[in-house]
Amino acid sequence: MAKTKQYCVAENWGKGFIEHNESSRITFKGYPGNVWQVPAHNKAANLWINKVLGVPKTKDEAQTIVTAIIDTAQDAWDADNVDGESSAEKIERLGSKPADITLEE
Amino acid sequence: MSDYKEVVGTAVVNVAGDPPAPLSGQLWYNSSTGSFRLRTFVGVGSWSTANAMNTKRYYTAGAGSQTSALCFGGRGQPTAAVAVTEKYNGTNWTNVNSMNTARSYLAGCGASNTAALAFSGSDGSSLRNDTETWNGTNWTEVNNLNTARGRIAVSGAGTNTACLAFGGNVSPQDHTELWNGTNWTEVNDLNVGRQQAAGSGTSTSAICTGGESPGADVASNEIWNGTNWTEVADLNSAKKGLMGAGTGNTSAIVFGGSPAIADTESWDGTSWTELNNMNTGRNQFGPAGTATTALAFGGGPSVPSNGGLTEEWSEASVAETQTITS
Repeated sequence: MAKTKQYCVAENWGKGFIEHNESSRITFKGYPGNVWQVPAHNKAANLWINKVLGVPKTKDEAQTIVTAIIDTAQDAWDADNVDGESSAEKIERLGSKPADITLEE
Repeated sequence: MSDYKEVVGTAVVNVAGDPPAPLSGQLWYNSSTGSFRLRTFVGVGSWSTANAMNTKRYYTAGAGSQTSALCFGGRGQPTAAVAVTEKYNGTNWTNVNSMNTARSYLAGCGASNTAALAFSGSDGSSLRNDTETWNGTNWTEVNNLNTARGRIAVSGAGTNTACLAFGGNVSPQDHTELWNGTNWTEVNDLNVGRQQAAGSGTSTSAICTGGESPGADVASNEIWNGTNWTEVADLNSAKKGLMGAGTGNTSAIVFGGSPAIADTESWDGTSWTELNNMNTGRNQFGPAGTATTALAFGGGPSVPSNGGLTEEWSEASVAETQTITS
């Protein structure tokens, strides 16, 4: 089955990185590690990747980048403990443990 | 039953094709296709990226508009509650004087980056009822909330002298308090107690949407008329950690949610409509603005690359010609 998504790495510089006329045409999904998902086989998406000098990544390569960052955040969350603190109190203090992210094909 | 000529004053025009510049609401008969056609305008909104904040944070609060916003407090990374305040001028975030009490899970309201109110939250070890007011330069401590709590939803469009705070993480989670510029007063409670809900509007015309009621995320939606809360049509999907923007209980958008939802939904006073998603899903961030020009900044999940990201929502009317099918 042909892929429906494509991935790239591009640093979000703020204003002008994704403009209204781009996000109204295609769906962007930003992930940790400056990983961006946009539609595959789509002219507007390809133009945007060129504009932001995005470095194309396969889904597996993008997944590796995202997973590494989530793993680091999860390890930091696991290591941040206070004596006598319950799990509910820890969630209240830190927020929920960062969840795994699985990218779409 | 009235016919078109009685209502509009002219009969439906017969055109070979479509007229070159139809007006909003204009109806005509297209003799080429054999169909009735109607010109309408629909709201089309989208999110664009904007410059990031200087301090990455989540569980933060915001106030103001898309071109004059304020972000204050929150949880920095890795985990400490912060008092840091930044103002946004429509282009850049600039550090300004910090709050007196560092805290996360706080709430805020205000019309611009020169007039805002910060209240409630957690300093990391206890819940706070502190209230501080911002005059464009400094934060000043003023009278406290009656009930200390965090994760409150708020409506505060308008001024920092009239604000409504509702819900929160202290049972039964339905408390509502009204700020008159000097004191907080307890008023009628929400019908569905909740925390991490979205709020927007004014102290006399507000909306409370979604959140977590004990044990479950909810899609419940309530509107405030200045005296009472009334349950109205639910969101399309239950969620918590979302934020809202709007000027009253008939016009609002909600966006984001836990853990990293990007959905945007629009409220027209009757029902919710799904709109274009945010570019980066997030929860527990800062909101500012209205249903047509909003701002989202910061937020979780708590990974280093997020936390400072800013996006701008703009909705414009776009002409659309519809074929009448029945």
